[in-house]
Amino acid sequence: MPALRSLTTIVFAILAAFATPVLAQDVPAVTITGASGSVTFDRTQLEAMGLVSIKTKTPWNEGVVDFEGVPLALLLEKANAKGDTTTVTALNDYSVDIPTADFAEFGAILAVKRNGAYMPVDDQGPFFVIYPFDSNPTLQGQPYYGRAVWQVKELTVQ
Amino acid sequence: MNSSTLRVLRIALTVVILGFIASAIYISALVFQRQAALEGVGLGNVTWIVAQAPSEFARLEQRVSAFGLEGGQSNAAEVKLRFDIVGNRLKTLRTRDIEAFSLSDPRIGQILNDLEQALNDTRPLLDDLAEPGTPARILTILEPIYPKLARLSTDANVWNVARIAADREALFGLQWAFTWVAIGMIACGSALAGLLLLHNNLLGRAQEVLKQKEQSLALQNARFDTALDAMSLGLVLLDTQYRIIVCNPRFLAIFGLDKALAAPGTPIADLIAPELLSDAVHEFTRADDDEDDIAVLNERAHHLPNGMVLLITRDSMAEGGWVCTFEDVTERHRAQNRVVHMAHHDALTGMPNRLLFWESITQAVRGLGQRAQPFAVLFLDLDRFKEVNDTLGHPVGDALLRQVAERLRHTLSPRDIVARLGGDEFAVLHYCGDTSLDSTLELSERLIDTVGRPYHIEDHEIVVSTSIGIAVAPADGSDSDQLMKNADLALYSAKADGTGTSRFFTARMEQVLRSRHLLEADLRSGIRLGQFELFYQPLISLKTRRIVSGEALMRWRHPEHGLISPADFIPLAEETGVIDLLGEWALLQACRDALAWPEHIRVSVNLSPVQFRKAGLFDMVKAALADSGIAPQRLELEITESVLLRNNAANLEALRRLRALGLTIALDDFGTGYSSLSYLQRFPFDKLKIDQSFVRDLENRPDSLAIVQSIATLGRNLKMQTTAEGVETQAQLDIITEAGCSEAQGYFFSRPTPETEFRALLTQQDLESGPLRSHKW
Repeated sequence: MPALRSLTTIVFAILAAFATPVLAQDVPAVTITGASGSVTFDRTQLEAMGLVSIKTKTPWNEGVVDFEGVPLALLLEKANAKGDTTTVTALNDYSVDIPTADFAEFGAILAVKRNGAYMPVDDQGPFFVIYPFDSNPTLQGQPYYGRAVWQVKELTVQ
Repeated sequence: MNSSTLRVLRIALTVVILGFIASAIYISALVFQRQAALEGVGLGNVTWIVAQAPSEFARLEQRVSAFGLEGGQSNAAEVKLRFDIVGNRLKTLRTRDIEAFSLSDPRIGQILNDLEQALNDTRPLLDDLAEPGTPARILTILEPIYPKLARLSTDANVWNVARIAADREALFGLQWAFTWVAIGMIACGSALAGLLLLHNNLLGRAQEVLKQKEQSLALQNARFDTALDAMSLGLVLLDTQYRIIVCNPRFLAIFGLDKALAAPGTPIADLIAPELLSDAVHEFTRADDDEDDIAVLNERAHHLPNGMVLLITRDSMAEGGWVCTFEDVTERHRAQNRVVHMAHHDALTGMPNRLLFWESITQAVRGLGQRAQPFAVLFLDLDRFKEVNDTLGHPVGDALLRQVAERLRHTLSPRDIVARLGGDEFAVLHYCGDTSLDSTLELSERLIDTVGRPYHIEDHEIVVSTSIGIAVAPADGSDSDQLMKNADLALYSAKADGTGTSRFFTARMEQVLRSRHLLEADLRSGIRLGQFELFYQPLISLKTRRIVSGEALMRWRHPEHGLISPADFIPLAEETGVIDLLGEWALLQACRDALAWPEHIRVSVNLSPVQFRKAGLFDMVKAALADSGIAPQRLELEITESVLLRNNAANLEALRRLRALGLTIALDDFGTGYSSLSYLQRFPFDKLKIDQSFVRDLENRPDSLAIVQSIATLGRNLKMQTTAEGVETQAQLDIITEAGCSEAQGYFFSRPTPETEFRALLTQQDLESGPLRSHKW
């Protein structure tokens, strides 16, 4: 079975390399820019970093939702990006400045999955900054709801 | 003072505090309400979310139109990305967060539906972007939506502004509410402060009052202590367990206790004999006038071993426990015992008096029922004691009584009781031992014998006899009064039978008494009804053998009993005093009768010794003479020697005054009684009437003849007339004529006859002008 899976992976890799560039574009990615330059991680790479889960209610979803994603602190570490402020930019170019300390303090993640499924662009995907709102009353309300940016495409640490 | 004020105050305080709590709760509610409202605001900025829609939509349009101009594969993905972004925006606009805004106007929903419709129409065309005309078609679809989204943005802004305004207004209202609540709380606070001040004030005043009360209580206590100390009564207050609460010095003094011994809490039984309290009067029932009552004192007094006599009372207190008083009545008790003795004893002889004797009989009567001990009540009096008193004086009389008492005491057995009832009356309560009368009879004989022996007092030898009346219990009475009355009746009867005799009570005595009472009543009514009349018996002159005088003799013509002799009613009239009336009537009647007779005939009227006791005798006689108009020389008054015996001087004086009127005085029944010749010396009688007992025996007894002869001689020598009474035969008449009597009277000549017959005799004598021959006319 592992042989079969690795075979499939290889086949998809070939397909990805040769079939169409559009297909390659279909795996969303996020770019992290620090003082030392930019790093782009696609979703596969992000998943490889190890996902953590946050179950919480949000103002934009019905009921408790299970978000899975990479802790932002870990992500910045992987990208070797350091700085007090992280500017998160969305696909619609909406951007918000977040104190970098938030990530370690509250354990915010860059969600990849929602209720076990990837999120499409027309439904808050592909990446979503999620705080564990339910675990801490301070997080319920502004400015934290404003910092929960969906459709994330880029993080810039300064 | 004002507990009600304090209560009202407390209620007010509670109300104010409740007001505070209500205010606090209200404020909390307001705060929560506001928090919720603000939370709504905090959830998301509707304006911002809506405002991004037109720009995202514009970018989609721009990409599509750019694709149409340039063409190219690479830009198709960009178009798809912008399309998805718009799709995401639509979803976002339909989330719960925006719902409030979406629902505020149906138009907004319509716009969102239009957007969705446009996106749905566009989606299939995206795959055919490369085909010419497709971008234009897409733009045609999208074109009308943009202004609507722009409009939505404006609407959102307006809605948001409105919401902010509403929030502001709510905040303003909240501000006012806070203000009012604050004002209310300030008011409440002021009220609270005021009320607390008032409360404090009241408490202060209450404390002041309490302090005053405490002071007055202390004063009261001090007074109470003083009063307790000053009390002449011993007093002790006990709790329900009979332990001392408080006692006063007098109590300690009475029982000779040390103060330390009688500390509060000490059981009273440790200090005094418990029966003193259990026997005590349970309530203060005795009235003040009861205090000196001998019976009360005797019943309630407690005699302590040391001789003290206490009156003890015990009364329950309202709060439980007892108040006991101890009154030292030793002195009073002693004094009262003396009084009791005095009240019950005769001072002269030291014997029990009538009262005590009465009580003794009562007690004996009680014993009769319980132990069946028969007893007899003996009444004694001394015959002719009055004469001793009159002749020898009171000191001798008293000494005689003392000696009689002494002899009586010695004659009796110790069980018997002897008492002096008063005057010369004594009484004996004798326990018979059995129901026979032997011992009683024997005792009465012994008493008569003992009392009858001569007494030697101040050189006088005095002999008195005693008569005894006896009533035996229970036969002759069942109570003291009856027994004493019956013994008295028996005594009366004994005396009637002669001196030195004793009589047992009989029912007949009572009848006699009753008939005497009836007779007395009849006597009085008889005078009123004119039932009395005068008979006359002639007195014959032995010289002329003619009637010279008539003796008036009273007769009572009783409607039931017929004619009653003077011997039957005169003693009763004398006893009851009726004799005064009767005598007055007889005198006046006799004088009037005599007026109708020839002038040389005199009338003779008897006077009772009783009539001499009253001062009006002289006036009465004088009035009778005046009323009738008869010459005093025609009236002769007959008296008996007992008139001279009693009240000598006064009676002699009365006789002299009567005689001075011109009438004559005769001494009746001469030769009986004392017949002291000294009387003849003391008063110059006009006539002596020789008692008929001597005349009756003249023929058989020489001594009677001698006496009659002596009296006749004595009369002649003293210049007194002599009248022989009761002449019944010729022989008697001859003898008295020979003896030298001046007049005679008797059945031989005539019985007493009614006045009309007597007058007829006189008329006949005048007609015959000769000597009276015999009584048979």
